[in-house]
Amino acid sequence: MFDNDRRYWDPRIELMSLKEIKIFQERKMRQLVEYVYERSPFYRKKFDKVGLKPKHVKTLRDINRIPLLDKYEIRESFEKSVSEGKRPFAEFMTVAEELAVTIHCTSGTTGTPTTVPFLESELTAKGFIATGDSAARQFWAAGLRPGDILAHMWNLGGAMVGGGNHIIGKGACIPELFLTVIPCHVGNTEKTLKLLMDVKTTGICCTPSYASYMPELAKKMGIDPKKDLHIKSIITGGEPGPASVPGLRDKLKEMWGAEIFDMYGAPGTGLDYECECHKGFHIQCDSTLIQIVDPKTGEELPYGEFGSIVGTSLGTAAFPWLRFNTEDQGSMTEELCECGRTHPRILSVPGRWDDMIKIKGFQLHPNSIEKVVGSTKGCTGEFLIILEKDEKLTDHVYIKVEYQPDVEDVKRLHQYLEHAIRVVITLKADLEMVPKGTLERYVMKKQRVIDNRTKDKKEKFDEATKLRSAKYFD
Amino acid sequence: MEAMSEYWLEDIETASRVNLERIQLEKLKKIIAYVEIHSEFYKKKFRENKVSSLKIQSLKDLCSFPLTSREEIVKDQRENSRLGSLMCTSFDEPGQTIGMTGVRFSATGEPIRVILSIEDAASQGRLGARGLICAGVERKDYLYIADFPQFNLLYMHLGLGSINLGSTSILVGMERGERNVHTYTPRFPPSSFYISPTYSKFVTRLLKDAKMRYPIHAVLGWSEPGYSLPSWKERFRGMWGEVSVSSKITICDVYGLVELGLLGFECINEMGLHGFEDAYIYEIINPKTGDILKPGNEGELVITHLEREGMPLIRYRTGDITSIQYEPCNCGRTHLRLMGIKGRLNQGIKVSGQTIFQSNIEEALGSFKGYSGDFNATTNGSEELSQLDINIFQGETSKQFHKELEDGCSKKLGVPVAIHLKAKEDLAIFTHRSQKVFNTKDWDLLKKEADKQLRAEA
Repeated sequence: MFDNDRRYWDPRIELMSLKEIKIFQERKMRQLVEYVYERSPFYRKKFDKVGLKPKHVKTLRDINRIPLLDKYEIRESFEKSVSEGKRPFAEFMTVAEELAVTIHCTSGTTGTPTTVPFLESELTAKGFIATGDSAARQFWAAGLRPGDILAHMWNLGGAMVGGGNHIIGKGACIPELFLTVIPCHVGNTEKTLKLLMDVKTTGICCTPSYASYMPELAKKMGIDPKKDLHIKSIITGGEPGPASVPGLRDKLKEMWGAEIFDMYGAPGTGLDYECECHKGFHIQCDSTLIQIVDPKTGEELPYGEFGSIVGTSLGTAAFPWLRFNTEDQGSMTEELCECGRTHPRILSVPGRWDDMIKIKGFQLHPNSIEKVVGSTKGCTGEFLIILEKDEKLTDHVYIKVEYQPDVEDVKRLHQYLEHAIRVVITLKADLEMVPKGTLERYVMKKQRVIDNRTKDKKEKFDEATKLRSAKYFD
Repeated sequence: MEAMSEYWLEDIETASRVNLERIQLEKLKKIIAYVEIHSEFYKKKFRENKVSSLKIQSLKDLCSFPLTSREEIVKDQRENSRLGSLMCTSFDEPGQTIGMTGVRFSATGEPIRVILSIEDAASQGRLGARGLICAGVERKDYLYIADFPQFNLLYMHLGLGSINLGSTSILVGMERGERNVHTYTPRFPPSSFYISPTYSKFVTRLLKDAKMRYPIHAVLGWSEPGYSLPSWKERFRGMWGEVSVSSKITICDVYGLVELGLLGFECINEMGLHGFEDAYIYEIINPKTGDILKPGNEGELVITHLEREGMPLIRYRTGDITSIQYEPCNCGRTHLRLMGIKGRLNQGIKVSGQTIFQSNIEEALGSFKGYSGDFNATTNGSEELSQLDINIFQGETSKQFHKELEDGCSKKLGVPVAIHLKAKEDLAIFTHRSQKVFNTKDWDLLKKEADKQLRAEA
């Protein structure tokens, strides 16, 4: 059944022409709009508010008439249902809520995690995010083939990072996923590394920070990740990764001796994966429709322009995502990729709009600093931004940057960085160089910013560091 | 009259003994022939012992087959790379899963690596659903699964079981309990829990502090001694009763091993764990001689897989001490029952000719109302002791209660007992899963583990 030499998992879909994709998407879009209008009270109200009927949505352009959906709206709907004594998803779902068999969560990057229910049929159906065809397509593009073993290093409980728990559902045991999977969880890293070595695992799926943490620990244990482990591909996701942080890909490649692939996924956007060319994330257009909109006006932007990513999961679903604003930023291109896959690509997802800090009326994106620090020779790539208010209530930015032990002229590096950072953030920042290992490493989600500007926030930070210092990992 | 519960597969679950044995014999022949072909380990082992699938005429013939011990598998996996010569499938097969035993405690010896095929996972999922129904979990329930997820296939089986059953599962894992309690429970009011006895102490306290009460009616837990001991059952019922609004709470013990799968669930009558005789053959042997014991006698449990593709085990010594009973239960299920898991063979303390397990001590102490619930008992390896020393944490206690505990325990255990009152820091007190009886040389390891578990909750 498997032709292991083939380049694409499913050439019929992956090599569809743009015109075919459009027709396909239009058809599915119409189905979806009709379906949600009929069955989900939440969407019906939303449509009625702007006087929209399913018959008005005929072409892909018409869907811009549907207002954007954000997570606060969904949360509100949950709370409303609960306060009315119903089950939380009663308003939102298109089927009876009792049919939900499991509830998954997003990682909660921006506060409360978003909870999503799934039906049994969705966990087994082809094309479901992270379990079926779409995951297979992604892992195939990452160079994994039947016979390979994938270590799945997402949190499988507690803070269920999107996708992590699917493996527990039916994810690990569906024929569409051609691999053998290890549910590795996060933490207990020494045992995990030993198991990886023993069973000769060939692929890893984890966050970029965990991927950069593991080799360090391995070295302490006397394991050389390049020689003793047999990893050929690492797929990272969950936070700005190799595709948007320059230098990270080379660093990981150097550490593991493996090919590094980034991925991007958020509710409604499906799994967007990198191919061997590493030129943006291929959108799985047969199951998702992605648009780029202006974050202020909400208008759709043409290909090539930069804005918020808005995702729609096509086809009928119990929990429909229709024009969901992910608040991630990026642009799209429909140029044919060198790998031959025709689906449009998302170019770089540097971060969320709400990661942005407002200081002295300027916008400060931690990721732009990450870019500078990551591409400068002599830096480890770790940094920390601290925001303070002085007695005159003026805001100050302090940046701590780690340097490599082999750097001789720290002063010169300091000067260079000060200038380079000044250029990108257009703000005066006090820079401090600290030796390698000073800044705590947070494996799950890196904490890049400490905001001490308000007392309330300061307390929160102190609390957080206390928890952090209890060393979550190992 | 005791309530009748629903069945998942009525035909199988209430099958007569004759029919059950017929099913078992058929499957046994198949599985022995299967391992003879696919597993180098068993091919060699059977040849050495001069047995083969051709010789099986009845279920009794199984006892001529050699036993498989944990140590043999560990040795095999050390010598052969990857999953050893036990593995019957190839890595080319899609959708397989690899798990590992002994992740929670390194004190229990070297881990075994296990592989499941798609069909194995599906079969375990069916057993999971059967067990959950048996324990009184309903389709409309929100089932919270709080177990340690790393490499733990049982966690997956339970999740699959819940999906098959149709109840809504929330896989919360075993970290950051406080966050989970505050984010999930108000939205999805829990009605059943799969949680370890030790962790349930922690979670009920959290719920109580937050003044939350939910319609919890079924609490299931794993084989850590606790849920199957009568005196502890009442204690846990009281504990959960404080945070529940439903009138009746069933406390059900669940038994399973990562290398074998789900092995037994208690039903709502709470009269021993119902086995799955169509999926396994259960035997009780004398751990010293290897002879098969009659039903009702205590001995080591030996399991033979009947439904397994990835890594079937034939006459695998679990190391767990229990007894079996064939009398049908009031719930109508005809499969045998395991009458509580007493403990791991290598984790007992030998005191004046007797072996005392953690469950024995728990049971003896648990019947005292004023007892706080935390104790440690240590051994020095195989050396036989003249008296059992138990360290407990008890806060302020009268001398009289101390004496009462000591005398009561001596009487119940039938060996001399000395109880020492200790400060909390001098005991290994766990949050997730307890190991209260251990070798003194493992003390540092266990203390570290206890700290780690507590930290994971922060």
